Amino acid sequence: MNLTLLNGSPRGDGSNSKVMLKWLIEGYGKEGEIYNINAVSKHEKAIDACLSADIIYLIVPLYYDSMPGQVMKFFETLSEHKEQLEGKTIGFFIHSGFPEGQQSYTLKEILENIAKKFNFNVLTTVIRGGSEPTRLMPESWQRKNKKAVMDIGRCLKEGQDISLSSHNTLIKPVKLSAITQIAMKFGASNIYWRHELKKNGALNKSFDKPYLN
Amino acid sequence: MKVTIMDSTLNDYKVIEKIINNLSVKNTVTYPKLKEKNIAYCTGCWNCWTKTPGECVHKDDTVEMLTSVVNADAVIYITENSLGTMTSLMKKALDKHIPLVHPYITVVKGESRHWDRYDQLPKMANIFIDENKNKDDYKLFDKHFQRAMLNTKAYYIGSDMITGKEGDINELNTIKWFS
Repeated sequence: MNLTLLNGSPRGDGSNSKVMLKWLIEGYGKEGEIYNINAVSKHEKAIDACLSADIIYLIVPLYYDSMPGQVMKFFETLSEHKEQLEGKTIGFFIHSGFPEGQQSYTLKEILENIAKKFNFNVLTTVIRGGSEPTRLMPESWQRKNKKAVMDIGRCLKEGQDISLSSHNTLIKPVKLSAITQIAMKFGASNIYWRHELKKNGALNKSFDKPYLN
Repeated sequence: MKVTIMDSTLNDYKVIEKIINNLSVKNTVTYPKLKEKNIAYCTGCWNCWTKTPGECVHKDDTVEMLTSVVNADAVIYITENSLGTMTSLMKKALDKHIPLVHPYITVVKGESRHWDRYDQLPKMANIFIDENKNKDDYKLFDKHFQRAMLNTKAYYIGSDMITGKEGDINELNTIKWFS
């Protein structure tokens, strides 16, 4: 099985998607090349890799309730080769900064609908919330998630669909618990942003409205 | 009323000219044609949240686009059906709307949502062009649009699906809202 891994993050090599793709390769057990598609100039090379693949696997962050614009542009260009791609298998892994999995449900539908237009076979779509600190946190703090992503690699290697246990581990929490909701209303999730704003000397202008006439 | 028509189509449609002319009778209309604009993709740098709050790092036509959004009373986004969803041009434009919200997060109806930056963002509508009028694609597109609008807490005017022919102007409920 020839696997092509696509990194759908606008951040490219410095992304959470890239970290998780590396975990996936670890589970896959073989060298795998990751194709960044965050710039249109990189699309041709990635499309060539898709054309020679049996399985295409895309990890993509949630942007404005869908995929980043660059990823959509990639699919538009890829669709020029639709006939050559028919019957190939594709898998999607969506992750969001927001902690709850349900935020990504619409993108799951959008991506699976695109797969239908291409006549791709679709693997079970994986969703993961709360991914923003992935690249910043030590691996030892995220063993459970790493194990689940590595297992996706194993499934791809063995030509199976994504395991239910990986899917179920990563999607949690699907909804915000009552306690999390209260904590968030009291600003628990603002600590990071406040810290960043302060570090950059921008805290006192954090509510600026620069485009207002 | 100040109206911005965000033309995110990849092809040219006479009906869009008609829409502009029709709305210009009673409104001040700006109509950025995104395929002719130089707008860089969002790079996820978060400078617009943590370094230069509210301001995108790209000083290209992003400035003109966002200025035309925040100062309008209403924005109409027009796109074709591209692989069952909005075009990459429209998605690129929406990604660049992220400076319009504040990074802080709260909970609205059980879901995480960003804080407001602007007191009032314009009312929003969309027009979906599909010569085959695929209802499933349209439903999914509009669902995404309405979810995306939850971020800006903008008022949703409505949505239309048309084939893109000149005569479609008479079918548009979105336009009637403005007269």
